[in-house]
Amino acid sequence: MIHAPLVVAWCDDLFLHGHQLAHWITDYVDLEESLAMGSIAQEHLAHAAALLGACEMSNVERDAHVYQRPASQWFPSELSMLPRQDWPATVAHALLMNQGLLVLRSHMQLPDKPRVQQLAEIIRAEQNLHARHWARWARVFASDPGLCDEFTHRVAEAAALAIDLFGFPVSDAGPDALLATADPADMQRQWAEATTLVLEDAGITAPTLPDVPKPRRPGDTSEPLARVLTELRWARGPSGVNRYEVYR
Amino acid sequence: MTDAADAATGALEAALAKVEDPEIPVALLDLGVLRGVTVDGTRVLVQIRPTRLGCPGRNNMERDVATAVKAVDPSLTVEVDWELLPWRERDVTPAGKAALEEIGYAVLLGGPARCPYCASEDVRSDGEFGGALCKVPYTCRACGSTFDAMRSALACGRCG
Repeated sequence: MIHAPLVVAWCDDLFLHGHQLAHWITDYVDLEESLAMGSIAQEHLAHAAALLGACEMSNVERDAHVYQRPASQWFPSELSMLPRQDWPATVAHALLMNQGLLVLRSHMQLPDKPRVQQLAEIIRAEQNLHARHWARWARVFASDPGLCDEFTHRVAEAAALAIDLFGFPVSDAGPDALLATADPADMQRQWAEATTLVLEDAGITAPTLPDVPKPRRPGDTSEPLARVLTELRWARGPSGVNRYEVYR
Repeated sequence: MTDAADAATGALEAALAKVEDPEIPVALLDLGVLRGVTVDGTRVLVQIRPTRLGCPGRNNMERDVATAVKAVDPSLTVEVDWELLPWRERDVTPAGKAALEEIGYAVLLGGPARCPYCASEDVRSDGEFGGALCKVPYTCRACGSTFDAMRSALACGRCG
């Protein structure tokens, strides 16, 4: 397996975020948004699975990675472990995560790994669709005097947690074989700049975004992670009989 | 390649050309999803380019492709190469476009969407996400029909 600690940690984020967004399929804002959430959540899982595949993890290994790995070996970002939220906070959270993934994939330009580059291009195209979706919601909130302040506050709350988006796991400082750039601070700065532009273009006053990444901590003290793992492992069934092959 | 090998490859291509998408009753070949087949002895490599990376029909496609190959010769082994290249609307063949329109789908080919029921271009986009990753919903202002258009992730969100 290729050693890619930051990319693998981002797969944790995508998996958790996709799981959280999937709740909006039923707790929906409206039917159209429900469809959008289903698609975006599904693509998060697919991107996580494809990135783990790019790390040369087999289907069986990927399955174990999600269904059997103890929480102490997960390294999700603090932003991805937010508990369930209201809709403005969900949009703020998703917009910040989406911009982060777009920055991450932009560093997957490895001349000696053409399939990784191809994957990065597909992720760019698919995540750009999500970016347009979240930016549209930001514009909706910005244009509503009753919601603009609330959304701006939600963005600031989410931004304060985005301190480790590009932090390597505390136990593994890299390098990451799927990334052409070794400096996580570069990526965090690029994310801060890109996110500020998106917010300001939508008419939202961007908060000061953290531009120096902290290391990611293991997830074994995280209540949201514990809840998500309980939910998804319950779906698998106590004896592993419900093997839906959702994670490939 | 020998005549026998040509014939075997031809039989496989003919069988694979009939494999339909698990959700939309149109051949994968005509959708531009089935990209090619290579035979090396008893090993058959089938190239498939999903419309989106997260297409949930992949397992079924793989199963149906394997079934089609085995029906030609049970001794063959089948391997699917999931291409990491973007599927585009222009990959749909003319026959595929006609088949899609026949069952109520539009295909976005650079211009505005066209209602598959009345051919009007006076249509309204109902959002960037539909009931499946590769579909976007529309309403026809002329005849009032709702329909889905097949769309790649590369299509401009403001087009159509």
